[in-house]
Amino acid sequence: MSDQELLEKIAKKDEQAFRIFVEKYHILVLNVCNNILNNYDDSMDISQEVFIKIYESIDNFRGESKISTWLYRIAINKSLNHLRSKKRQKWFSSLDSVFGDDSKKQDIKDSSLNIGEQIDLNENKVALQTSISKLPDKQKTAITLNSFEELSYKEISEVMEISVTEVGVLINRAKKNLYKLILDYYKKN
Amino acid sequence: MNCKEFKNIIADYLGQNLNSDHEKQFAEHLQKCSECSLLFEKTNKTLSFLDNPERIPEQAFYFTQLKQKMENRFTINESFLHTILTKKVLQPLLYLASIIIAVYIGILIGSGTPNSNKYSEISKTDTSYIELFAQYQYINEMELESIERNLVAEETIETTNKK
Ligand SMILES: [Zn+2]
Repeated sequence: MSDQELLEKIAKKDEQAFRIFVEKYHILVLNVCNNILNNYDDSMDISQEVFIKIYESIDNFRGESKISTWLYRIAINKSLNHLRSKKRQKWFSSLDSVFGDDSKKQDIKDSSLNIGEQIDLNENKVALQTSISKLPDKQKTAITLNSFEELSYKEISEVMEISVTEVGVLINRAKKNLYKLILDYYKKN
Repeated sequence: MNCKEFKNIIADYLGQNLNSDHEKQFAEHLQKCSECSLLFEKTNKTLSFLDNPERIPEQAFYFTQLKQKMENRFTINESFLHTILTKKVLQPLLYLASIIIAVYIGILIGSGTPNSNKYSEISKTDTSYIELFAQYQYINEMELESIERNLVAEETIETTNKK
């Protein structure tokens, strides 16, 4: 069954078609989320949100772009949004610690401990992930799609809806910043 | 080139932004300084992970979990109207009603509780009130507001009778 046929069936809420589609693409979506989130549980959760969104809004997909482009875009947006809401959560928890609500602070601490357990504690990987996480969103997106997903500049430009030149600029900046961030990481540790 | 200068240009070296002179000096320092060469090695090794990332493999129960999540959400959506009715309509109404009742009781207590001044005033004129008040005050402590109202009513009747 082609992707187009699958999508048509999913639009008619055909569960079997949706299952085939999810089984075909979940590794891609899961890994795109994990490139940004660096956390298995969060990536499972957010990647499932991606498929729910697709199931609900399949009519919006017009087939002008490749299905993978659409998947990348939704996965990245959802992951970045999740990061932002986590940051807000941290901000509020720091407020809570100022005003003495320790229960929420404990939650955040626990979840960050889980992140530590999830990732392989190989120093190089930690250094890389820490440094990537400090990049601005657009640079982070461009460099992870280019390095981890091995997308061409052209494909990245379609996912991010920017020009190929802009992609090149973003990736160059991202690399320069990464060199500095990784160096900083080792200077501090 | 000293260590500080070396560390400052590692990023430029990696970005291939050094002229041949600087590059030569960089290489020389790298050769003779173990601390800087370790830092350079670590950075390089870390960057190499950009090219061979770790991938999460296929997940056997992915669809099952996803379906479970969607079904849970559907149930939640179904009870959404119920939630709106209880949380957005009934609950505020209850809050409002309890506030009104609380204020009403407050006013009643404020106007109905015999205070010491009133007490002394009355005791000057008629001592039988002392017993009456003592009796009602005791009940007052049990916060029975209907008795309070009775007290107000009786007081009014008594005063009218006196006239
Ligand atoms: Zn040195």
